[in-house]
Amino acid sequence: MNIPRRKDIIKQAKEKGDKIAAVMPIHYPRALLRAYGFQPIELWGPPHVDHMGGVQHFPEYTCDIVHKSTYFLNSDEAKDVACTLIPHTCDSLQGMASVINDFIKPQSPILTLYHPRGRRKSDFLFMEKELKSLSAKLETVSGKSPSDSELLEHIRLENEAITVFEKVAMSREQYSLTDREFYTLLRSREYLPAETFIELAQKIPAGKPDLKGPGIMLSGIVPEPMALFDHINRFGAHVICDDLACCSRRIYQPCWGDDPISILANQMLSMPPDTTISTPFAERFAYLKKRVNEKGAQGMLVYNIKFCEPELFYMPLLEKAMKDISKPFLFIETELSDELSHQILNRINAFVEVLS
Amino acid sequence: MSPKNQIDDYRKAVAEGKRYLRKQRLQQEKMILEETKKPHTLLSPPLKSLARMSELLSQNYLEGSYVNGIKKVAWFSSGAPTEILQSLGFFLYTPDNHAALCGSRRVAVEYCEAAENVGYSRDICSYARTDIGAFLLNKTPVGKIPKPDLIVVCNNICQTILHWYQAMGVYYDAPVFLIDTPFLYEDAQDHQVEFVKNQLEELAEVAERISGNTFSMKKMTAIGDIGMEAAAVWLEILNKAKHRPAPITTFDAFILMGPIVAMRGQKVTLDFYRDVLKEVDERVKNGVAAVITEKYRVLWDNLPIWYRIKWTAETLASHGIAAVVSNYTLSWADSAQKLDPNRPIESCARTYLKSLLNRSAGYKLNDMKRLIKEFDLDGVLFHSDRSCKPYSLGQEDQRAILFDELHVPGLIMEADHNDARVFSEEQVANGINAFAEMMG
Repeated sequence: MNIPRRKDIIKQAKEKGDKIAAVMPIHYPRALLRAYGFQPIELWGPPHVDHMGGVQHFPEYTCDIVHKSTYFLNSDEAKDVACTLIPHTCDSLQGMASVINDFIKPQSPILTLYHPRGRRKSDFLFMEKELKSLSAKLETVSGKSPSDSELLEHIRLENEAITVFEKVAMSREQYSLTDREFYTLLRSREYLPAETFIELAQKIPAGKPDLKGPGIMLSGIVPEPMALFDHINRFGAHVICDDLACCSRRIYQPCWGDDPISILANQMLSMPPDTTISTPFAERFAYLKKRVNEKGAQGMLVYNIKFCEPELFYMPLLEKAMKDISKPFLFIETELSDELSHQILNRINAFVEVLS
Repeated sequence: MSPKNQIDDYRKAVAEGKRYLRKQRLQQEKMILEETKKPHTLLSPPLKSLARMSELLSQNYLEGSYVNGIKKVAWFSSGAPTEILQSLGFFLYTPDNHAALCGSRRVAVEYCEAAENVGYSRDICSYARTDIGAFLLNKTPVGKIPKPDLIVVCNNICQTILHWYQAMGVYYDAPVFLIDTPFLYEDAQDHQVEFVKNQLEELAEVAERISGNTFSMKKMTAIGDIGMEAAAVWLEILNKAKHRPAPITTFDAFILMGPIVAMRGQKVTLDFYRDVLKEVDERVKNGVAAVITEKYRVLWDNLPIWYRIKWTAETLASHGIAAVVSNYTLSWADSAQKLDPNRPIESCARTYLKSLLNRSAGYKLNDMKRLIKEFDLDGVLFHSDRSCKPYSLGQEDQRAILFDELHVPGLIMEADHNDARVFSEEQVANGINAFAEMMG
C-alpha cells in the first residue's frame, strides 16, 4: 500500500497553513488540535534518535521514549514543531514535560493534559474543564478561535476515522496484507489526518491474508522495530489481534451531541482498558480474554519498552491469568532500537514453537 | 468466637502488648541516657524521643495485628488525606510506612525477591515489591498486617502508587478508592482543586457506607486541627536545624517522621512531637551538635536509603558534613500552612494537591534555592533513587542550575530507597569524598 510518509504530511500541512503539533503518547483529543489548525504528529521515540542525547537530562532508568523524544525535540529535526502536547501518561512523561518546560525551555511551547484515571462523574467534569483549559492554550499558540460548529465538524470527521480504524483493527483476517503492512497502516494514524486515513482505509486490498501458523495477540506500548512482525511470521506465527498502546488501546467510542467539549470529554474517557490509566486488573483481563477468544489467539506476546512501570505492574497477574486459561504468555523487554537482539529473537522463536 | 469475646481478647492483647512496649521503651531510654555520658567523635547520641517513637509506632502495629473484626480497616497511601477515614472510626494502616520499616530493618530484599519470583520487575518501586513480597511470604516484622476493608490511594506522590495499591487490592480482595490529583506543572487551577474536592466528597460517601458510621464534618475538622497542629510542630522541629551547629540531622528526621506519616491527626502524635521539640530545644540551648565537627551543611533530596541510614550519616559526618534538611521530611509539614479549618474539604483538597511530589521540577528547584538560603547550605546531595522516578527525574538539571546560579555543588548518589542490591558502598563513599572536596 502506498502510505504517505510523515514528512509528506508535515509538508502538506504546512502548505495548507496548518501548524505542526508534536504529541507524546498516548491519549489526546485529535479533533481539538485539528480545529485549532494543528496537525498532530505523534512521537514514539523516534527509534532512530540517539538514546544518549537524553541522558544529560534523565537518568538511565528512564524509558527510551523520554530519552529520545527529549533529544529529538531539542534538535533541528523538530524545527517545524509549533507546540508539543505531553499528556500525563506516566511518571516518566510527567517528568519529561516538567524538565523540558522548566529547564530546557524549547522555543515552541509545551502543553500538558491530565487524563483522569477514574471513570466517575467527577472525572468526566474534570476532563471537560481540562479540555477547556487546553483549548485556551491552543488558542494562544495558534491565534485561532474555532466556532463550536467548526469543532463539531472536526469531531464528526474524527468519529468517522475512529469507526474506520476500529473496523480495520478488529478484522485482521479480512485484509490481504502482511502483518507488517497491516500494522504500518494502523500506525499511520500516528500522523495521518483523519480524512487521509479514511481514504487510505478504503483502498486496503480485501481478501483472505496468508496468515500462517498460530495467531497471537501482541500487547505492549509500541512495536519497534517493525521488523518484529517479519520475525514473528518467519518463525511461523502471525499477529491476529493487538493490545498495543499505539493501536487498539486507542479505539475510542464515537460520541455525539451538541456540546463539543462534552463530546470530547466523553470520548477521552471511552478507550479500552489501558495500563496507563490504571484500569483495574479484573476489568482489563476480562477485556483481553474476550478479544483473545473472539480472535482465536493462541497466546499473548507482550513486547514492552524497558522501564515502563505501568506495563510492568500488570505482568505477573496477567501472565498467571493467561496461563490459567491455557494461553501461553511471553513477556519481552527491550529498548527502542533499529534491530532486535538474537536473545529476543530466540525467545520469540521458542514461544512460537510452544504455540505450534 | 462471639463478638464480645473477640473484643475482650483484643483489649487484653493490646493492653498486654502496650505494657511490654512501655517496658522496652524505658530500657531503650536508659541505654540512650548512658550513651549520652560517653564521648562521641562523629555523631551525637540519638534523641531520647526515638525510644518513644518506637513505642508509638509499635503500639499502632500491635493494634493493627488484632484489629480485624473489631474495627473497619482502611489502608492509605502516605500522601492521602486521612481525616475523613479517621473521623469515621477506621483503623488506619499505611503500606508505605511498613515498606520503609522493612527497608530499615533490612528485610526488604528478601520480600522484593519474593515479588520478583512471581514476575514483578526489579525496575518497579522497591516499596511496592517489599509490600507485595510481604504478602506473598506472609511475613512482616510488625506482627500481622491488618486486612483492609477499604484501600485509599492518592497519586499525589507518584502514579506508581496507584498500580501498587491496585495490585494489593487484587491480593487482599479489597475495594480501591482513588483520589486522583492532577500533576501541577504550574500553580493549582480552580478546576484541579474542585476535582480533588469532589473526589473527597465521594470518598466520604464510600467510607461512610463501608464503616457503617455517619460522617461528621465537625469530627473531621477536629481531626484536621490536630493534624495541622502536629504538622506545624513537625515543621518547627525541622526548622531547628537552621541553628548552627544543627541539633538534629535529616537522618534523625527520617527516623522521627513515622508518626506524622502513619498517625497524623491523632492527639498522641501531637503530644509526641511536642516532646521532641522540647528535647531539640534543649539541645540548641546546650549547644549540642548532631554532627560533632559540623563543617558543611547540605540538603538531602529524595527518599532516604533506608537500609544504610546509619552508614550514610556516619560517612558524611566523617567529612564534617551535616545533612541538615530534606525536602522529603518537609513534605509532611506542608499542611501546617495550608489547612483551613473553616473549609475543611476544599482546604484538604488544596493541601494534598500541592504536595511537593505533585509539583514541577522547577518548583522543586525553587524550593531547594529557598532551603539553601534559609538553612545556609554548602551543597546538595541528590539521591538518584533507581526505583523512584518522579522524585529523581530533573535532578541532573537541578544540580547544574544550582551550581551555575548559586555556585552550590551537588552530588548525585545512585542508590535505591529499599533495594540494597543496587547500593555500592565504595561508589557512594568515593562520591561523598569528592563532594567534600568540592565544598572545601
